Amino acid sequence: MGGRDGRQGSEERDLHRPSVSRRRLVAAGVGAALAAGAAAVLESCEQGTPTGTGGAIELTINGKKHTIRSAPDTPLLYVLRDELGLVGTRFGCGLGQCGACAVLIGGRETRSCMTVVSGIKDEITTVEGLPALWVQKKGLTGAKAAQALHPVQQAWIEEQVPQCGYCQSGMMIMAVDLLSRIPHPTEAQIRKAFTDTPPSAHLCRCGTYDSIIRAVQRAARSMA
Amino acid sequence: MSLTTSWTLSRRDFLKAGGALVVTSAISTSPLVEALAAADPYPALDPTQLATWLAIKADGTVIARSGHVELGQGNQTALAQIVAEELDVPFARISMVLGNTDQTPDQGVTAGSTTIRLAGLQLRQIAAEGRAALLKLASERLGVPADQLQVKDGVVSAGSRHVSYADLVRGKVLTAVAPISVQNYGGFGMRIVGTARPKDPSTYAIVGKRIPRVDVRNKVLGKPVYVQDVKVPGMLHARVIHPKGIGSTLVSVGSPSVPGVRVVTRGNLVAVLAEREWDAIKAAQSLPVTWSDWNKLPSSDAVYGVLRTLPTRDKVQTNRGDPGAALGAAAQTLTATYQTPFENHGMLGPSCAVADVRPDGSVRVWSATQYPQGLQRDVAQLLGISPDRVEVLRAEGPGCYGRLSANYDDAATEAVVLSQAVGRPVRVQWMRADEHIWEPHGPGTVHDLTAGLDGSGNVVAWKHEAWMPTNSDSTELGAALSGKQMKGTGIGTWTGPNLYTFPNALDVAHGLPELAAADSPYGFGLRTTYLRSPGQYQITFAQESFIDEIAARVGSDPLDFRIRHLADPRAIAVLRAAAKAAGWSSRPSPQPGASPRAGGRTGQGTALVLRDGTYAAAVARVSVDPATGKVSVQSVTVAQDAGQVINPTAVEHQIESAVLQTTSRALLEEVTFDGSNVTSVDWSKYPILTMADAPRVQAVLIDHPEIPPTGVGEASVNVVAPAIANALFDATGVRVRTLPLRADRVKAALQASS
Repeated sequence: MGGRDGRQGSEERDLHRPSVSRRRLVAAGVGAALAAGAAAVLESCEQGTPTGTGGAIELTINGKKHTIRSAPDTPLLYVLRDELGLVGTRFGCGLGQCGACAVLIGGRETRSCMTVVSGIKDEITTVEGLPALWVQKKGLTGAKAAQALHPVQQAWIEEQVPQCGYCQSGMMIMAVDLLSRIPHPTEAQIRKAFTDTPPSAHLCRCGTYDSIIRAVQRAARSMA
Repeated sequence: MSLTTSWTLSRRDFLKAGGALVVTSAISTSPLVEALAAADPYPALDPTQLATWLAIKADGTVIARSGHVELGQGNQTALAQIVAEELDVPFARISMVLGNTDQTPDQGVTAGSTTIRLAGLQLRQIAAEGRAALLKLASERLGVPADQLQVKDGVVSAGSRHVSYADLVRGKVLTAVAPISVQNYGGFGMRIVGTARPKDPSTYAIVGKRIPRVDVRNKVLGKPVYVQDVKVPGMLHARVIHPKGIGSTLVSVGSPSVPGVRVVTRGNLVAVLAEREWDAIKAAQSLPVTWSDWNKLPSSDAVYGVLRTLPTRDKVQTNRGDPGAALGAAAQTLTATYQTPFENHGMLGPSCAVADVRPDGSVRVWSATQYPQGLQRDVAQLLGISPDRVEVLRAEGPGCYGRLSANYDDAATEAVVLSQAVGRPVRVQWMRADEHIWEPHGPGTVHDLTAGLDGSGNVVAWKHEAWMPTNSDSTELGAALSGKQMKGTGIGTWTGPNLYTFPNALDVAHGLPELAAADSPYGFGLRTTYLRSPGQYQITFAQESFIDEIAARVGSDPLDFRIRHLADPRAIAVLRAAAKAAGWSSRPSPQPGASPRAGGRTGQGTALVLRDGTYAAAVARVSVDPATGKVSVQSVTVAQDAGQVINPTAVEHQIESAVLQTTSRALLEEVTFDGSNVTSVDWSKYPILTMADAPRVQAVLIDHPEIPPTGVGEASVNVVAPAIANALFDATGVRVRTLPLRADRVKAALQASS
């Protein structure tokens, strides 16, 4: 796919990242997850160049301190996705109506699309930080720590919860919050948490609610 | 340039060499080779060459390419199972490449539940051809006739002698030894014709197994998976300010209030572009834009009446016997009218795409489209260039359920226009209101049904007339708004056979144009496009509700009544299987003591469909609160027969998906609009099902390994709404004939019957 565009220089290299990355993904056995060129460019976004006018804001995200360069009125969602490359937090509505953008702030489920970055004091955990959260909690080390997933993520895989998967980062964040408050929730408590937690229900359009209930129950058992 | 070593390139090289059967190991790539590839326009993928579909690497990995795409239904996994099975290669060694115009053959649009029944069967034949070719090579290598060879895990053996697929092809450029022929390349009618025989299903070891989906892990880890996650160096963030009314045109644009933001207009396409996304959002919210008034749309309150007045193009789906005469001679007749609303696909993430129109005129587009090759052609037409100058790289997107199946990607075409305008890559991300207002909705419909009964209560005549706006709006907003008229809005469709054996039957679709399309400067009106099981969903709601009404009139158990009027054993089998699993009580509806005032009763309802070869039947259990009219769906059991099951877990999840999404449609969903545009602009105005109200789902699979597989994405969608409406009737004795079964509507119906 390379030379056809006829460009040279650094941009050219970036445009070629797809092929390289895809090869790596294939080698790792997950190459099928993405259409070829797309995979690689997706990957490259983690190296995106931050821009902005800020610099005074410090955030702790997934255990790591960041100096934020986005403007102080920027919602956390865009800082995570655009400046830090943490794209596991998804944009769904920008209105606090769906839950796709949920993260943990101080351990509580929070909608990052409605949370201005300058006002955040507590530590932030995104879906990318869930494994480390579990590693820290259980004091895992070495290979165990390196391979660990959060039990909620493990349960999501075992129950094959995602379809399109777009809402699932927010769903798993909600589950982690719920299980931290109620280690063994009843089905009614699960339904209530995913429906009545302000500012809105966590919405899934594909129809995975039944699977999510099973996965939360499975995670609760494995965390016991 | 030195970074480029890709399969794409090695594949191109092989194609230039005359079409290899199987591509082998790493080809070292030199700048010279790369330059040659650049100088030579990449030839269209040749579907008659096996190398277009299959490659075997030196490490034994098999690459299989399909033009279909993953929409979250697990088709990538299922396709890999099919290929692994035919080649006798472990599942884990299959790597699927999907939907990428430079790398995958055109297998038509991923829609209509076609991935398995069309693209999958094509791949099955391809893999069988590949296996035969490899066995021929092995036969020559081992000196043993091909029919005496065994294959296990990609290793061919004859007695104690072995050779792997990888070793057979290592270092060779092979020519196709088993040529295939492709008929009707690129569409639903495409067929792969070859000489190899696919395996006997009774020997399957991979197809039919619960293999975990390969796309799940990355989604659970929050990896970059979606088109929303694509970031290209130099990319600008764009927000499009769409017209006020559907047919409004641009009067004036002011200056942006956010520093550094650029406004671009092309005709009526208005956008703000910024280095930072939040700047673009703020600028879009505050940009002064004046649009002309446009008020040609009927309001959603009045739309059902309007549908009956539009010009029609009729399609007769069923015409058996003499329904007119039979109705005239019937001992009694029943009539009823049903209405279904305009609906949203409701992608959970709004449309997004990235386009890069380069200085040399070539274009690269990242899109979540359901049809990369279709989008490639649309973009080429939009820019007036040859399709081979356009590369579409498909990433996954939020579930779209048909939204990207006819107009292949509005955001992509907008991004193309904007990228061309500014000479940089542009990412267009719609906001929530853009999606709720401007997505091409599922059309609302009206149905008149009439039945004639003889003195014994048998149905002697049946008539179903449906009024339905188009399901096939294929206009691309980026083109239409920027002044390029291309493609059309089509006319209504009707789908689905009438399974019942009524001796005289007439099913007629009055296909309608898009609402107000004739009064819009853009050529489209209230845009309407295929929404999961288009046409059939609405038809089945009316038909299966009315069947229940007839059964109630003659005092028959609705399940028995259906079976009595069916001849197809697979249809009868799914009904019986659903009834058995759900614990169906055999009796007429409504249940004894049913009353519009009595709460606490649970009603049962059933429904049946045949959708593109797949049979599905549902049993719903429903209660209603008479004080509020709120309908609670406690459980839905679906029995489905889609022939051969490729992956039972994936099929069960598709049924779960169909039940929950359709419960949402049936109970809650309705697009509202005034004379100018859609007014249900977000999730608060267009509520969907939440977990609190999700029914329990029970899926019963009837597996027929000997019958070619049919689709599983759509069939069970159709039976949910009528099963719920029938269960509501069973509990209350009240028939609600307009969807959605929203609390206010149900409450009013209960009160009117009290």
